[in-house]
Amino acid sequence: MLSQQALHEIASVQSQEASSQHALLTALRCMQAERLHVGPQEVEFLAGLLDLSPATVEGVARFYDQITKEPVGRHVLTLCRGISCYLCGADAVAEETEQILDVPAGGTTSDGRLTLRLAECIGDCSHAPAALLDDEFVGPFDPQSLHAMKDL
Amino acid sequence: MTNVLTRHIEQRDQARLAVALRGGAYEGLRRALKLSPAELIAEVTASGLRGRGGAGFPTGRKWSFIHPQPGQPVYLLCNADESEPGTFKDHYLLKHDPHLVLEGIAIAAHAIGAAKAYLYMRGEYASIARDVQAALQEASAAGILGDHCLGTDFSLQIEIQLGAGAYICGEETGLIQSLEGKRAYPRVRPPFPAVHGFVDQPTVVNNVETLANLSYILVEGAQAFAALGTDRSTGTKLICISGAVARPGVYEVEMGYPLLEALRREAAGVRLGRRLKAIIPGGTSVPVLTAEEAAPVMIDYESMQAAGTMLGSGGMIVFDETADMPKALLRIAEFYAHESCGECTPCREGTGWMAWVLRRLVAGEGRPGDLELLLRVGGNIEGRTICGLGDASVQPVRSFLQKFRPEFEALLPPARDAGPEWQRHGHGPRTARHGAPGDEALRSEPVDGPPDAAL
Amino acid sequence: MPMVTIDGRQIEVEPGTSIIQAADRLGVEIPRFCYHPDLRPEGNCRMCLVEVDGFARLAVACATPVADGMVVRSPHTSPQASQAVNGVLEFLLVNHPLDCPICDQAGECSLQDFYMHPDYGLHKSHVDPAEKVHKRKRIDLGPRIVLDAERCVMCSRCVRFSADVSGKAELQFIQRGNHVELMAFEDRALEDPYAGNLADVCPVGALTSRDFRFKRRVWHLEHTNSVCAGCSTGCNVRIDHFQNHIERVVPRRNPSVNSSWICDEGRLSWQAAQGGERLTQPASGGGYPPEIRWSEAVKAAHELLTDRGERPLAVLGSASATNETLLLLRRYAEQAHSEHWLDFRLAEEVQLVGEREDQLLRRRDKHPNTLGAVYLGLAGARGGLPAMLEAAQTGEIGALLLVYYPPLVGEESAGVAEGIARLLANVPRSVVLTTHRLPYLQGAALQLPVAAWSEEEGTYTNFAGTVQVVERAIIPPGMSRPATAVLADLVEHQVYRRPDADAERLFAELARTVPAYQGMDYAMLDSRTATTYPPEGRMHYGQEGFAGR
Repeated sequence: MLSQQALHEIASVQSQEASSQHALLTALRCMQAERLHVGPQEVEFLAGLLDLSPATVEGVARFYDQITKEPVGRHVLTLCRGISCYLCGADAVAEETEQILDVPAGGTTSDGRLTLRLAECIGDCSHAPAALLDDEFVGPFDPQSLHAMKDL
Repeated sequence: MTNVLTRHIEQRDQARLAVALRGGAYEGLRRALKLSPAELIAEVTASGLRGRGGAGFPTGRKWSFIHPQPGQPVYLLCNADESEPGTFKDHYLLKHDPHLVLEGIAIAAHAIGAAKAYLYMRGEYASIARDVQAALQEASAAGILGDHCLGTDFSLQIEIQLGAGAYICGEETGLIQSLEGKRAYPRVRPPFPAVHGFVDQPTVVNNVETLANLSYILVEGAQAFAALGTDRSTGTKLICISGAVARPGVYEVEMGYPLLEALRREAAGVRLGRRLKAIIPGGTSVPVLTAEEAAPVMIDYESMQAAGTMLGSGGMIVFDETADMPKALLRIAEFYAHESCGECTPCREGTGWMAWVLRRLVAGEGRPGDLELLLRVGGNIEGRTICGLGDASVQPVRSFLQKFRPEFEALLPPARDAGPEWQRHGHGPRTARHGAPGDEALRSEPVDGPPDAAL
Repeated sequence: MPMVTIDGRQIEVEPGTSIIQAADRLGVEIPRFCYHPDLRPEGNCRMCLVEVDGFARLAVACATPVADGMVVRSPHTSPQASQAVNGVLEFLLVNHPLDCPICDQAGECSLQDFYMHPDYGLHKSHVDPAEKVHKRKRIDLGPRIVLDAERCVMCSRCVRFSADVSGKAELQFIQRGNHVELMAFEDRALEDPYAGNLADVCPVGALTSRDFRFKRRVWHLEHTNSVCAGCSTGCNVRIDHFQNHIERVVPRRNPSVNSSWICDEGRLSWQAAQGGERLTQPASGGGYPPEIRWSEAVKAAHELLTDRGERPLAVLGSASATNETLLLLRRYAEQAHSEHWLDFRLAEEVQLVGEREDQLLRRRDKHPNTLGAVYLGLAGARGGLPAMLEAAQTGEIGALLLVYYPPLVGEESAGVAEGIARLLANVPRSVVLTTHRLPYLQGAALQLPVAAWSEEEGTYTNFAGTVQVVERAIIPPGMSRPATAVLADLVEHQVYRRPDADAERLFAELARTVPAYQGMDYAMLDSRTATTYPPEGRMHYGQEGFAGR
């Protein structure tokens, strides 16, 4: 279910002093990156891998915004709606983005290419309205730039 | 002005070790390793350095609480979860001068006797984490970090842990819980992390900016650092100016620098030549200042406190004259409702409730007494929660309502409205929208109205 | 040792004691949801806020250790604390469905009780019911537990029980803020053999017992303290009954035996005692003599057991009988000069008595009183059922008196059932005192119906030698009587004077004659001193049962 590289990364953060659960956050991140979600099957796999109960894994997975139960698209566009971005027109940007992509916030384009998410402050307020395309900061975000991103 | 944190930040490729070394990187660590931990703590205490994460607790004092049993491991956790709205200074430091932060981590680890340190970065900073990881590898390969740092007996393993999207991980016990792979539910204190922290061992959690000051203190000396700023707020502060300004960004100013001067000179003033309406000086968790209130305020812990607010994280959010304060407050309240971890009752239920009331106010469905309700709910959160998020959520609500009250009152229905129908007639969901003109039912006298129905 | 003052009353406590523990000892009621004396404190509900002199803020009593000279004011005396607790209650009801009329927890719901408390409860709601956050309801989590996430107050007692006590970690919260919701992964049936405790620790109606749901409103129940007879651990329980019918059994807190817990098998063992086909009147040769009276039955039994020529009477007791029953059984054997033919072992009870079945409570010996039988000297030299069977097959035994209770947890082993059947087949003159009509007892010449667990009073000695009292909760069915009464009648036929059949007096004799019980006093053993958690309406805990030996 996970690549050798991910398994290696998870193993590398395990340490003697901490219980296996210490690696759970890293494991969830790896799973989200490779399988694009952490659903029931993924939870069970990680529970087995780290010798935890599935409920424990599920509880942690459903705590964090970046770990999703449903699969996301191949790319995730995260628009910041924090107060600074709000003051710089984030609402309008989000609305325009929804129209261009033809998906509501939280949705994924029909071709599975892109998931649009709204986030609380993402910590790039000097580039308001801030945005993340996958891991990269792409603010100030101009929805019109999406037309150039069609070949993502 | 003397730069403590941003001396080399403009230097091209400062993240590369060779470039950083040319600028004097790790010289502070070299000096620190010649000191005993006790001498090092004394030096930092003498510098007057206070925590830059928000609370402003003296750093040397925090370290002095660590008293491990023989053989007990000690941990240093560097808090780079930076999630306070309007704050992006750690982002800036880690991206442009990661060696300055890594050096600070190593100095602090030596002070408290930690052989292992974790740099916990918020999940949204994944791309920056990759660069920091590369810097860490370079410094370790060069024998600066890792085993036998700079050829001494001191060894330090630094690991980078990425979060996955939760504001509460920036709360120190929430961070510890998250690092242990748990739901980041903050822990009740006592016991404090200095006694029972990460994996139940003595632990210090320090903010990125705090640690980034250490190199300067060791190289230039505690006295040089203490000479900067004011008597009780020494050194400099990174301020993050965002919102309605012409040139948003991170700026380093000496403690005691006038707030509006920073806004005007560093950030080039309010955008589009508009007038300043308000400024939140330390992230959304601190009370807002009106333009008038902000005028005499200096950027230091004491001046902020005197003005009824806090320096906090240094996240300065600027509102111009066009800002709709109720809408802005709703946005802030929704942030806290979304980020409340849900562990303790007052914060879990109260933040959501405040957001609810503000949402209906902004939607034009406010009810008589809603403003008092907001303040009462806030009062029932404040001082009664496990961690500071609860208190933080109340500061903007109370200060916005106090300082921009007419804007909120304008959203209330006319006074004759007796309140929602369900409250006047006992049970059952509300069916009629109150305040609708011509609705006779709403004009009737309250049967058993709430005390605030008359408002 | 620190001296603390709470609401003007002083108490000296061990260092490290929390304010709430000190208050509990003083009998000062501090409201709480998340605190539980047998779970690690978490401090999340904020109901136990108290005012402490010198503290800038209110403190949570559950997680604040006392210090010497500390002065604490609870919501009963501090307006500040009272107002804070009132605020917490208001928060807890913001998204609560208020479905008390159809909630099975009503009547023993902490939220209900606290809300009604005059010192800190009662407020007018400012929440529109249409605005509440809705969560999932009526989720079956296996045969024991039903989850209603909307009623949950997120106190995490169940989460901590599951993770820390039973170790299954089958429950957890998901989401954040006011969307936090309790769940079991994929709604899977709980595998925890201790799952029933989850309903007990839940202070509200979020986790309810499937066995008990909607059977009876709790305010109709009568309560009787008892001890589980399902294995040798002897968990303290409370039997809740209504009109001579057991409705449920819940654990009673006893830190030295079972903390606040009981296994599901033990919790439901009353069904075995009450179920099946009970023997309700004396029976001979597998049939019921019409309208036989007890005096005639006892006379018939005595004749059966006496007219045996020179051959001895074999007496086989039971490790499920009370100490008092076994005492009279021993007396009968002694009067019949058959004390060397007295035993109680059906199988490996004595070897298994202390052996754990798991790390929490269950033990492999499924009898409540094995050690009691040992202390009474009932483990004769001849080697229990197998040896008696051998003797019976060679015609060595003239008559047999058997006291037999079917196990309340699990089935009787095939070997034992067959051994008893063969023993009865080989001894024509046999009298059996038992609770149920069982195929392997049908060979007895005479069966006498006796009271089952919960229907008689007496004592059990658990695996560790702790002597504990079981009280009578309900009246035994039909003609059945406590075994002590039947045995007293039989002894009367031997010595022409009826011995006392009263449990308290019989125990006084045990205390005089059995070294292990020397100096013990029935009143001190009284199970009423051990306490119940959660309490019914009141809060009192801390005292421990009298540990014997």
